[in-house]
Amino acid sequence: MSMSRREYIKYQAATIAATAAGISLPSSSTNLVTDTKDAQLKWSKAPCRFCGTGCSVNVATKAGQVVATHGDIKSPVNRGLNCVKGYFLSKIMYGNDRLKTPLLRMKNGKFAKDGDFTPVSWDTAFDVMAEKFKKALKDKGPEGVGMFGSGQWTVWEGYAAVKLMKAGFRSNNIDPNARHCMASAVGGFMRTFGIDEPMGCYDDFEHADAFVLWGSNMAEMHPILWTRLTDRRLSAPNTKVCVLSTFEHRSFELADIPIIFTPQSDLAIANFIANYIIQNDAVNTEFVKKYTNFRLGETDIGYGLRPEHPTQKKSKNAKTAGKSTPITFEEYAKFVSQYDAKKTSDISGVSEDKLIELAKLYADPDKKVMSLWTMGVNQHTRGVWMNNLLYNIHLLTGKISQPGNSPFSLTGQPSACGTAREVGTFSHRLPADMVVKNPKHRAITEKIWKLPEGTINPIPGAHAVLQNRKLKDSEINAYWVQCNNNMQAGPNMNEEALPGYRNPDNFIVVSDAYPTVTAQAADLILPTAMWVEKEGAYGNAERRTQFWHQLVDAPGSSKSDVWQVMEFSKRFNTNEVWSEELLAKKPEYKNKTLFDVLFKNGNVDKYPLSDINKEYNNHESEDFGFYVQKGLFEEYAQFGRGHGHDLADFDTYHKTRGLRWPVVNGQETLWRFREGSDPYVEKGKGFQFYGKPDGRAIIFALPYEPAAESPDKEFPFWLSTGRVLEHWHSGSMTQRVPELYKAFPDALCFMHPADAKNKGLRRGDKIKISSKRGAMVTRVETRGRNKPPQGLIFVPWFDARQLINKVTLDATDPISKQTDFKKCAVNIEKA
Amino acid sequence: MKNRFKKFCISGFALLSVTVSILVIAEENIASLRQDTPLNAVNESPAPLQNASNKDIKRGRSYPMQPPVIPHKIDNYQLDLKVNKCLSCHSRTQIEESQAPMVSVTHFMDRDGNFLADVSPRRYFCKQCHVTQIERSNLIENNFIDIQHLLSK
Amino acid sequence: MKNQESHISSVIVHIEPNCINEFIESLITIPALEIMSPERKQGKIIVVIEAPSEKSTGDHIEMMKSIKGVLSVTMVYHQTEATDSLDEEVITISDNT
Repeated sequence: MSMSRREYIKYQAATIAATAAGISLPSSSTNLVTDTKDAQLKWSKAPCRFCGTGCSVNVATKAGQVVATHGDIKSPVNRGLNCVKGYFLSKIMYGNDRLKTPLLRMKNGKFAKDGDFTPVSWDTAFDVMAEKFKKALKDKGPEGVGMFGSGQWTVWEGYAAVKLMKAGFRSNNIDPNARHCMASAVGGFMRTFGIDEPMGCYDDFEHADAFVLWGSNMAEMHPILWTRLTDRRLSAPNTKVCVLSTFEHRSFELADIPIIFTPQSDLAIANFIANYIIQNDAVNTEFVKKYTNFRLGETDIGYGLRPEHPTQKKSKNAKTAGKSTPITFEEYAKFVSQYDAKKTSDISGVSEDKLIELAKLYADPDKKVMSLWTMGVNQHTRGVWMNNLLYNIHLLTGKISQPGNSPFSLTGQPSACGTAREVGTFSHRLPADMVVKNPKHRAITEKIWKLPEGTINPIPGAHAVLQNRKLKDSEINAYWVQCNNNMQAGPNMNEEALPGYRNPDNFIVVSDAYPTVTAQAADLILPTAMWVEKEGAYGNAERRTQFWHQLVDAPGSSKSDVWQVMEFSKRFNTNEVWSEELLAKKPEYKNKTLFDVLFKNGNVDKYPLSDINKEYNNHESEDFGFYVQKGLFEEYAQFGRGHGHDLADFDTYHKTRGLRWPVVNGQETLWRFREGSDPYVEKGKGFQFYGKPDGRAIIFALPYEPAAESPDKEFPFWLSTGRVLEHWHSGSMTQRVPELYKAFPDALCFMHPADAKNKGLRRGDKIKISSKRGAMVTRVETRGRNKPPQGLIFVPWFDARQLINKVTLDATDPISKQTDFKKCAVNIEKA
Repeated sequence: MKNRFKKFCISGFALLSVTVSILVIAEENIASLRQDTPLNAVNESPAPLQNASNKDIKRGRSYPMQPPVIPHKIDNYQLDLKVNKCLSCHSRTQIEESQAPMVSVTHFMDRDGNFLADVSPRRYFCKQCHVTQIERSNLIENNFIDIQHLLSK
Repeated sequence: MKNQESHISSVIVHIEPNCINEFIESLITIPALEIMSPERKQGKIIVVIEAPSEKSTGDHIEMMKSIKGVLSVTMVYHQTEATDSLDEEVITISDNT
């Protein structure tokens, strides 16, 4: 049979609409699709693979392949829109160099650190890997192994990995790449509110009168949220947008109040606003009296560098960085009074007029303000402080937890919230905001996981940057990287990451779909199923949990991360990894495999294969004989239900476009901590910050302190790194999509034309950017989308051929341990 | 399999304050986006800066919902609160004169699905979905098959 | 000179279930509109529009909105094509597939 273009287009149009409407389109109901059964596409929903916005897309499959994607009109997040990356999701799985079989470095038929990557079976791969992990455990104990995961892991992938590491190997050396991304945000939430994640939601965009972007370039990094903000700004003309950044970028196109500040001086600006609010009687006194406490934080807390680093040695209170003591409102007012307009203007380079214009947005009681931030604030050696200072402003004015009044910490990755944070894949955390240090939290976890008392190690493990240091220092010897590209993404590659991975004492395993820079640095590469090649769940920045089905099969022998973790756990016997003392408390676990103890524990294997939707494959469950994802999810959900983190039941999420937790009695929660909106707030309280025992949030007195490294004579420029719209993170997916590659093919050095001229450089010239640590060669761009002020350059990090992280510094926030990728000192010369 | 270059194999010594570690950079016999630059070397020849293609010829779409790419250069286009240079040719009222393709009518719909007289504010920043292209071969070939080809295979 | 264009779009019509028959009757004579798959319980109907311009597309939508019982008309899909390309044969499926 044949079909005309007209019929074909109409047929597509009709099926897309039918999918959006959630109705079926029987071929008999229309005269134009009578004989076109073969042309039928199967449409299913899935969240986008990229950023933390969490757009929903409709995915069309045919003959085992994804053939089209488009924005899901039913999703409240994006209402049919996608950004350019989202529109090209169809192509991310089809790069010509997909990995299809495990690859082990070998010489003469045996593993060799300096060998060639050689295809091996999964059995061989896991044999060698298990041998290396067992040796590390034997030689060094639980601290000798490590795992680096991801905010792009699905919920159950992160959960299974935490179980294997924290319960199975009794090692807390598991951390996600979300450490580079959201750790300061988590630190800020826990310190101010005692509970993680935003109180507001995306509905705030349609209610706010003013938007303040703190170091965030939403136009490129959260494009669909930017469409909502733009929609509000252009349809409600009295709305104001203020954009603060260390350089001009696309978000400035919409700015009523554009502000360029000197790097690190955001600390002073935030304190100035608090001071302005107090000086101008704009404090919401009743709110402050009823719902807040004041504390003075420790100062001079260091920069998270190696202890022997000269800068680190100079700081007095590095060991007590998180400490604070109670103060009164008056003491707080006195503390911030030093940040008057004059002094703040001197520190920040922002005119007094502009500072006051910004402060007035917050001080005006009739203006609903939404503050938005991501990496500018989080990737900051005082990132937790900056988060605290932004909450200060909203708490002083009572502009919180109400539609449009919203301090909103945006998320970088699709499941930094859902997986990294909520599941607790950080080295110090357990599910539902619990921590390994707390004996009660360990006991709750051990109970749900049916483990002998004392299984979980009470000492926090190594965080991201520390893991690389420990690899270099031969303290971690067996290491597994899943779902991230940390060799390209992590700081100071030359001095820390690469020597760590290529240290002959260490065995490095990398699970990925493509041969990334990190995979190149590995000893064993495991081919991995991605996105809709597996059933998954992500949690976005507004607490929305979203599910998808496996829509196509992965190529070759690729397996999902969760399959890899569970299958690998079969290679370990409790007698090998647990002490006799521990086993004596649960003798029935003697001689069992970790798979039996962790995953065949009556919880995870509870749901039969018959529960799986027959329309979709599920390769993990087919292999293990039970509904893997449902079992893992339902066990995990026990942690949060009844504790402010309630998730709905598993099956519900396959039917909805996601729900925002806490989901209580089937209802999602839009604004937390406010009576009438959040079921956890007690009657008559008005507001209740129930993460803290007394229901009060904390306003912190924290000063401006300088950056870890600032420009000097030898290295006269600030370097800021970041992303571009067209590429997701390290570009391992988007550089393989031809349209995205050709839209923004190469990394560039964005710089001010006057700086270029002073250096005798012209647009397009080849230059070398160097720091004390390493160098990168690139091209000068003086007219591009980013327009830095004099003295600062911006370089994106998506380009595997130009690795800017050879130049960056591994300084972190001492509290959150998150790297500051926005500030280090570099030199530029013609190459 | 593509013919792989044998890069080099070194065992270098890196002096540290804490410990002496040996760095094994083995032959990199897998393809990656880095092509032939080893991990511990700097790529000395980044591609020259290339301007966007300006041929003004419509390019095919891989599937109907794919936003069309921009077939001309857009350097220095003003696109801000005051001016939208793209719409000065592509808007409903300008296409007669400019002969440019008009923005799709989906762009007239607001968040709630109502039709507006003009382009919806949520679609104001064209470059979030529409991008220019340079003339260059792919970095890695992509095996995506569009539905028409899949069906006629 | 501008080539002739065709605008093909699809919309979801949300309607009071008891008005569905009347709705279908009032549309059936309009060649530009094709009705697909009425979902009677939820009151949802998919309509495919082929029109010579975006204005004409909008007019059809406005007309549908004015019909009794219609709660909303939401566009999901829109594509513009050169009219003379629409009759090309694009897919040939052999009988044994």
